[in-house]
Amino acid sequence: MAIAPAPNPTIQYLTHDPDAAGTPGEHIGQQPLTTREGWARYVDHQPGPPSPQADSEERIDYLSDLVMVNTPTVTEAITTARRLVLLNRRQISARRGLLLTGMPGTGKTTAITAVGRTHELATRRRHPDQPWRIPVFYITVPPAATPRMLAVEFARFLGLPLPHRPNLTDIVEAVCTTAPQVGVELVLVDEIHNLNLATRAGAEVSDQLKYFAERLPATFIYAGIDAEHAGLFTGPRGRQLATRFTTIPTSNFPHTTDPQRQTWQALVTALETTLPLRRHPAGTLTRHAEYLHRRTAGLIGSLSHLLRSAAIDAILDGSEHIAESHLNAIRLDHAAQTQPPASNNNRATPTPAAIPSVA
Amino acid sequence: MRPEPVRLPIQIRPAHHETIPSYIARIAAVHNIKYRTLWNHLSAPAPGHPTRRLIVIERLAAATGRPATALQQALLELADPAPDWRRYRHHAQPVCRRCTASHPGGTVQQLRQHHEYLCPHGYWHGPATLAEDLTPLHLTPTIPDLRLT
Repeated sequence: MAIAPAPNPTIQYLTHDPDAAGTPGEHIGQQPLTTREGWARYVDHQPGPPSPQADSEERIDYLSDLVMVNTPTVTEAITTARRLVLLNRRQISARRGLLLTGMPGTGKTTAITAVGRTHELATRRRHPDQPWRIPVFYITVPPAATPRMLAVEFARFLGLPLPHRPNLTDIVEAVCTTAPQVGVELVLVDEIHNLNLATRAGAEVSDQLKYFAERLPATFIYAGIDAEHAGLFTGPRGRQLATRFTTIPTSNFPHTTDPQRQTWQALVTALETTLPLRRHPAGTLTRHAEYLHRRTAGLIGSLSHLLRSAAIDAILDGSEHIAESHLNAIRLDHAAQTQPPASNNNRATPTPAAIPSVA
Repeated sequence: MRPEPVRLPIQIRPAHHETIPSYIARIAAVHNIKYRTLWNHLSAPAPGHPTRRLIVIERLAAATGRPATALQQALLELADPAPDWRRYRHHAQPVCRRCTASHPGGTVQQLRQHHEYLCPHGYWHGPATLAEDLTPLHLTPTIPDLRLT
């Protein structure tokens, strides 16, 4: 029988952390999305639009938040991910995955996080008595990533303590032991374009990611800028990925055919209904839909920025409605200013069922 | 300066009068991380003794998701005021197999008082120097008789 060392009668402990930064719990609100706490905060944070009669500060605070709109891409990603999670449930290897790829500002991160939030909320509803579950992991591939950096991202999300010089095997084993116990089902890997399979380091990171995909009983969803053209599907590793991953392209909204114009107008209307302005009749911005498309080049991120900025200006100047002057006064991002409007063929024509709605 | 540790993903409760090293070893085991890594994570250098590290109750509470008061009740070494150590045996001892089964992460090492010879499950756990193995009492029927007399 092993006998533990005797308790030291002079044993001491510290009640307060001499190295603590700030008050206990203070940092939780500052945690990024790539941590468990930050992710949980994002999932829990679903503010509804305040009343137009609410205080200006409250309304501006709401407008500073990104309003989630169910675009056709988001809807398709959620539906596909749900199907893949169900299909992968009994797979022991070679699980199917999903890749969201497209140009910057086309809503990849919004879509992938919406997928994660939807799945996590569904899991919470299905298992209300199991609050310990962590069904969704969200990590980003760091620039110039190495396998160890990638493993650290997983460990950091889970909140596992790391030694000063973490050993790759130790981290991977800790992650692969802990993750199944907390019920992981979906792993979201953003910024996948940082992984370049043409380089040795990139290939090693890809192998590490594949190893995690084999060890963790989860569906992997990747998102990255123009990932399919950046070499993600080339070479032996890439070909294997290509056989397992469904691709959903994201792009700026086209505005050529009638159904496309209808979708864009519906998107504008959906965003407009979230604006808490006192004297702004609903549907006003639909008249400016073509102008808005020209200004934003069909980029949803730029459209959201433009409308929210104009709404804040309208609150601050007391007019409480968005006029064309408000829209003209907003200087948009470089991509929206310089990118030509989307052509007809860079995106599948949305079906009527794909009309966006506020999430 | 470093931030307060975040809650560990797997939560396990401390056993009654479990030793701190035993509790931390079990937490490390369920997460498959090294004991020393976790100990360093939950401790700080003792004032005036840079090479000696002491557990910080705040950190242990944050990492385990349990109130500091609950930890101080369960882990005798954190009790405030400190117990009268003369009432306790010099060595921690493992708990019985049934207690172990209800506490994941390995064998629980427990501090017991000199007069505690039986665990709640009916296992004999006399002084560590005498009991080399925990024996179910139904195999040694004379012991409960002795205890009763």
